[in-house]
Amino acid sequence: MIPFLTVFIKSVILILVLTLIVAYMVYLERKFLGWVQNRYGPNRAGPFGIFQSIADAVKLILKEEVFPEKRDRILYFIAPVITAVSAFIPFSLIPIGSKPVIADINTSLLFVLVIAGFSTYGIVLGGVSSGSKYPLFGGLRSAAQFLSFEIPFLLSITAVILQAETFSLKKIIESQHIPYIFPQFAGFLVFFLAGLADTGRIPFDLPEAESELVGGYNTEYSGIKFAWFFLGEYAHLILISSLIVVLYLGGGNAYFIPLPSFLVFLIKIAFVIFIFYWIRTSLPRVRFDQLMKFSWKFLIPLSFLNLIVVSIFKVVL
Amino acid sequence: MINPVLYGIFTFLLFVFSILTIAHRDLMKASLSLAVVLFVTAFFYIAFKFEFLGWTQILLYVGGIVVLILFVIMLAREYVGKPLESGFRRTWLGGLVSALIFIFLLWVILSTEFPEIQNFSTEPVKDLPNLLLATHYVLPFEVLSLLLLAALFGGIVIARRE
Repeated sequence: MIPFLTVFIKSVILILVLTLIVAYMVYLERKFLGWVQNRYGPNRAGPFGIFQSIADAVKLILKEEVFPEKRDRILYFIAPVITAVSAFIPFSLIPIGSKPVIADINTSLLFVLVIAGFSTYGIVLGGVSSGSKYPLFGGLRSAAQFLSFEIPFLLSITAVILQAETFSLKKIIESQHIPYIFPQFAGFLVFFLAGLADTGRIPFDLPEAESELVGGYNTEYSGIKFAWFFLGEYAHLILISSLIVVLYLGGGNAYFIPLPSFLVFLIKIAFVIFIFYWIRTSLPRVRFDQLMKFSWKFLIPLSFLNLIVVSIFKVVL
Repeated sequence: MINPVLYGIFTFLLFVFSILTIAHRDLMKASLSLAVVLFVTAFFYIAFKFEFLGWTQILLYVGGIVVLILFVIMLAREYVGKPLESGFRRTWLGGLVSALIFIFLLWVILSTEFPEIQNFSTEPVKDLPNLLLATHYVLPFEVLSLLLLAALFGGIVIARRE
């Protein structure tokens, strides 16, 4: 009974902390966007607008929900939940600092990938179940985008598994005497770009392109259900950043600098997320055919090349 | 080993969603039921300690193939949210073929002696490539898949020309 209770309490704390982090990620993102675009950003709620995210959350929770008439009742309800839950569960296995937060299993990398992959289901189902055409297009785009970027995504991870000879995230970190970004820079590039597409952020935010599809898959969602989608999306962004840190940047290893490992881990994640924001402010959205071409004609060959080079080195050395 | 209550629940789920996969009138929901079936099957693999197989099954089939099926259904938009119309004309023939396949599979399962695996390594990643290349079937299999890929591209090229 006691282990169950500790796991339960740890999970609740993890979810609350993640939600808080998401709230302030959004605030910092808006401040950063404001700074880049030479305006103030949120500055009304509290000093420097630091309560803006809290105010937004309260607004979303209290808001009246509007339902489309042609919705599919079960799927419409379940879709935002899938998106949020599938983004939260993998964090129980991510080794923040030296060991994972809640559980440690041998095949943790596979588990994380499997659960994180379900977020697409949330988006696709949200698009289909709304019973209206713009969300349907959003879901359609999301499915196509996921399918074409999942291949280079997994291939670049395969190269890491080959070099580390393990599926455990903890052991992958331990095996990085030099961060894998140096021996596998091509793999890192592929993983980073495919991860960017996987989180559906600019320049790959086709599923929710506001100027083309109103709001994409979440057009018909309002109030708390919209908040679930939003939360899931940002948690997914943190998840992809922490995977980048674990697989390519050496996790909590500080190498020469004497700092506690969880702090190093958090700093690295913050840096990766900052780069995501930076890309968002700098680049326009790609066209859909450009997106497909980019994945099939550039990322997939590059990831195959990376895999072959890594295997040759593995055999020779 | 495996918790009997969980085993019962998952067997029940497997049964219900297998029926739904073939019987549901909404194509979208039928394919989602297929996803649930594949997921539950993977649970059995994992419960019997074949973790790698289980996770790979979910990753490839639930995460890849079923998303592809959903994509195709959404692409043909007339099927989204509308029930499929099907007559009873071919029910008898279909039932006959299914019954024959069922009897055949039952015969195969009952007449096979399943050997119990005594020991298997829990850290198999290092040996995996060697093991795969050591058996005779992998290379032909890979060549075959390459051929299929080439055929696929050929099909696309021919279809695009018109």
